[in-house]
Amino acid sequence: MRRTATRHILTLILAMPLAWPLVVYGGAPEGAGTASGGAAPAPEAEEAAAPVALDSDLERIKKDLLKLKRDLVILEEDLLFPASSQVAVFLSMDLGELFQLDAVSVKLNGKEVVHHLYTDRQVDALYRGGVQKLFIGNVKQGQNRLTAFFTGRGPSGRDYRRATTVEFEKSFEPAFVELAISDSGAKYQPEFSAAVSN
Amino acid sequence: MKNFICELILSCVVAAPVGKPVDELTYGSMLYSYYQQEYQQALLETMVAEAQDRRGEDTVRFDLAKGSFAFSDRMYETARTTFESVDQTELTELDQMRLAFHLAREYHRRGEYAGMEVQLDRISLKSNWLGRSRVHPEVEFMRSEAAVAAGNYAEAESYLAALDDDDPLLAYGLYNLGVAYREAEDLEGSRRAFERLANLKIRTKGKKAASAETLDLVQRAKLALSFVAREQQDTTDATKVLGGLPGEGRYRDVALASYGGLAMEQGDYELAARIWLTLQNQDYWTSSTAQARLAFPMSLEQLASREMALAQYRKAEQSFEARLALLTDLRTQAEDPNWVKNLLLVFSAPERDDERMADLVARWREQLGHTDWLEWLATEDTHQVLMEWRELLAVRDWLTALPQKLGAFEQVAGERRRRSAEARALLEDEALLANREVLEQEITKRKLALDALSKSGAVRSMDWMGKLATPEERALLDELEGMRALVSAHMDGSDRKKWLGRIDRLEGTIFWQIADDRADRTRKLEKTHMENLALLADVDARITRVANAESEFAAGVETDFLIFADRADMLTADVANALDARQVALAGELRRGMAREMKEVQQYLLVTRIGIARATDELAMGSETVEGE
Amino acid sequence: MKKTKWLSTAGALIALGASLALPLGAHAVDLKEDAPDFTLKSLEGSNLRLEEYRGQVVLINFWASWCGPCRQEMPLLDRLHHRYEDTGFAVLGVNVEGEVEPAQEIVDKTNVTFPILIDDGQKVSDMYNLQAMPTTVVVDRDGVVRYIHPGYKPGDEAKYVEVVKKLIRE
Repeated sequence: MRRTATRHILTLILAMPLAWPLVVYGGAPEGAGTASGGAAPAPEAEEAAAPVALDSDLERIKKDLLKLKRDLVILEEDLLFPASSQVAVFLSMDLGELFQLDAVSVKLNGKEVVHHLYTDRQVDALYRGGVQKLFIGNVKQGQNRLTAFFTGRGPSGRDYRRATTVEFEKSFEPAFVELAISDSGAKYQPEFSAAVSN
Repeated sequence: MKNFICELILSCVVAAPVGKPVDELTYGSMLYSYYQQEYQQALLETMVAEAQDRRGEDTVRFDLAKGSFAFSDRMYETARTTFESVDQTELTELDQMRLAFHLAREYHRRGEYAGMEVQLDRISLKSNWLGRSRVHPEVEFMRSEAAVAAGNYAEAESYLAALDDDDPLLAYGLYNLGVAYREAEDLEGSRRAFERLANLKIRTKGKKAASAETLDLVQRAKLALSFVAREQQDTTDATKVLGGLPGEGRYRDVALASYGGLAMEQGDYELAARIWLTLQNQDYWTSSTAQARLAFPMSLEQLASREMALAQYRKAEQSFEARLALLTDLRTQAEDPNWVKNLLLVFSAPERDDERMADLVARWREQLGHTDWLEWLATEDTHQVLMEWRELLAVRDWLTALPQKLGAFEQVAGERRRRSAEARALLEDEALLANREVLEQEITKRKLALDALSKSGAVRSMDWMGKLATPEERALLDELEGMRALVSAHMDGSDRKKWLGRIDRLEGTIFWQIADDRADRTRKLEKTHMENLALLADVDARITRVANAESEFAAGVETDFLIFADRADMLTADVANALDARQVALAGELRRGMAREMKEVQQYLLVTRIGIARATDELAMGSETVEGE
Repeated sequence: MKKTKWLSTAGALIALGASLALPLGAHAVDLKEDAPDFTLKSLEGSNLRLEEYRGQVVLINFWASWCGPCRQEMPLLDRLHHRYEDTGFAVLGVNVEGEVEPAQEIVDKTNVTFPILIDDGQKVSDMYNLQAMPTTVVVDRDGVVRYIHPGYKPGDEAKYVEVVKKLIRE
């Protein structure tokens, strides 16, 4: 798609200035154009312009690289965030109208662990159904408390601040907390809620 | 209602409602990366999800996403095999359309429009596609491309009408349409398409900022417009259009050269001369700056300063000759693969403040001018190779940094190993487990005693009292007991009776004290018992945890580092080979580019010489006439 | 071709690992490395992230309100911004003091139009290991640092122009 078109236009662009002095200016040049082929020391015949079919080796490399990265990610998670202490926090949006989320901060057992500023592109990704993996960390087993705050601007230009808190019991399995921003039916105001799955 | 209250009281603790299962969260995370065009990241996340068994129930959805990510990251083989693995028999209508969409993209990429149309026909978005809009921009784009390929330009335009101004696909679509029109020699149509593209309402910042690609295509469109306008002999419009081109960037020189040509056509030789002079004075050599060297004296000729023109022609001749000599020399050097490799490295390396690099860069600059040789690599195929080359360099850099990362992991792993070994030592150390046993026995014994105590009534016996007495009371009781023994042994008669009576009475006081307080003290004992039980439970929990952690850790983590290093080494070798192959290809391109330029310069040289001859002639004729009079 | 965020993610995770007392060296920004990513709030209120500027050449100018040469430099950068905007070039000003009022004051006085980001907490200044004020960092279309210029004297902007022109031609 892009290839065909731009090759054409480039040839067009590159050809025109070259052609101009030879074509527009004086009669002699046209004769010169043909004569130059013989008169000038001919450069070696152009090597066959064959772009090597290199796609396949690059893809193979990328695939191996991804496998390596995958294994590294898993290893890293096991090492730094073993299941028995792992807690992962996700953020999702389920809204009818776009809500301009500005920032989210999360406190885990009283300590701030995340403060994220959202760019337009990120908000758009959330609005379209993407879920952000906001935080991954370690907590002790037993009771833990997570508090999250968000600020943002609604479609009417009004600013919103919301908070939500959830207490959860950390077991041996990884804990997943989902922070959800949704509209509460008739009110059309963004709501913040937290849910935990173990 | 509860939520409402909690809004007001920010520290409200809400009972955790049921959330999305992990698989949904995982799928959503992949989408989050994808929507931000981080395709490799998205693909990586799908692979991690597969390894962690979090694909979810809807595997079709998962596979379609995975294939889509691979495709966007130009891993076409992976995409193809993923889509082929989707079981077509069980697909919902929506999934069928999704699959058709992906297949259409693949056909489009290969330029197989017939196959693409077949797939596109399967897509009819009566219902929402992504839940937000009824028209999928990329589908409409592909339909327009099919129409263009079939020569139905008006139809193509109608498809493109569905796209937003800030969609890069619209820019590509219009561009291709413009080119197609021109090839079909419909200059009006070509002009319309390019004009629409050049006039797109694009913003350079903010949420709906146009992508770099769109901006680039808009510039190209403006340039193309000027050419089309010239072809249509509409020179005034071409001037206006060229005036709209930014004075900087990739197309600046070509634009200027075109402008100069226009000025010459319109007879505005002064303007032309100024433009050629500007171009000529650039410190790098491109087609346009070369052309300017020749065109400048040409414009001077028209301004009637023949001597100046001649002088400039001679100057041009010299520069062309020098350039040709340089190119011939470079051509020979370019046979050496190392020369090319170094050149590419200079390209990838930035300006540094260190001397060695500065020297190297200066040397290259001298020989080649600014980024001249980028012109030689300006074809689309080479651009692809160059992009891949840079991507491979990034991979190589990542691999180089990997051992350090692995080292850090090994340290963490080592630390954990040490701690769990310590814990295990603790565990296996007889004392801990034995102590636990002892503790348990103690607890059981006391519990039994406590039970017995609770059941029986108050009994005035040392046994009973002993259980409930405080230390002071016990001390007293012991003393009394001691005294009783003494009295019994050493006194008799009425003294004995008297003393025993006193001892009895004192003991009785203590007894009644205890009896009164009994409930309380029993409760206290029970409480202590509970605490001991909790303590025991805690110890048990710790033992279990340690046992678990140790076993968890032992799950094969230890050996993986060497394997990682091996895999990385293999990849490094592959990457080196791939880089070499591309360097060879780029070297070939460079040589071809050099050959092209040599040919061009030779032509210019010829025309220059003709110009010199002519100017010399005319000067001579002019002076003859003067002499003759 | 979008580079993965692997490097920055891994970097963050490794930093966490550092809390387990691992010796990891200080990371100064060097040429030819990926420019460290950051997201900061602009004076206008929107959040801007460096990585979202991939595909464009970016000139990052670190400045403070108390620094004279910074104030001199800013209008020149604004000119640069306007001139090359359409060719895929962006200027980002980062105020290292981290407060809105002094920054807004300077912006009002100099009338610059490129985005001014507030480095609340000086995290970004740390990441970029600034040695002088102002400092200009130029990042190419692939997100690689290509030029670092500490300080400013009149005439330095010519060098910026040269570097930017070279990079936008890539």
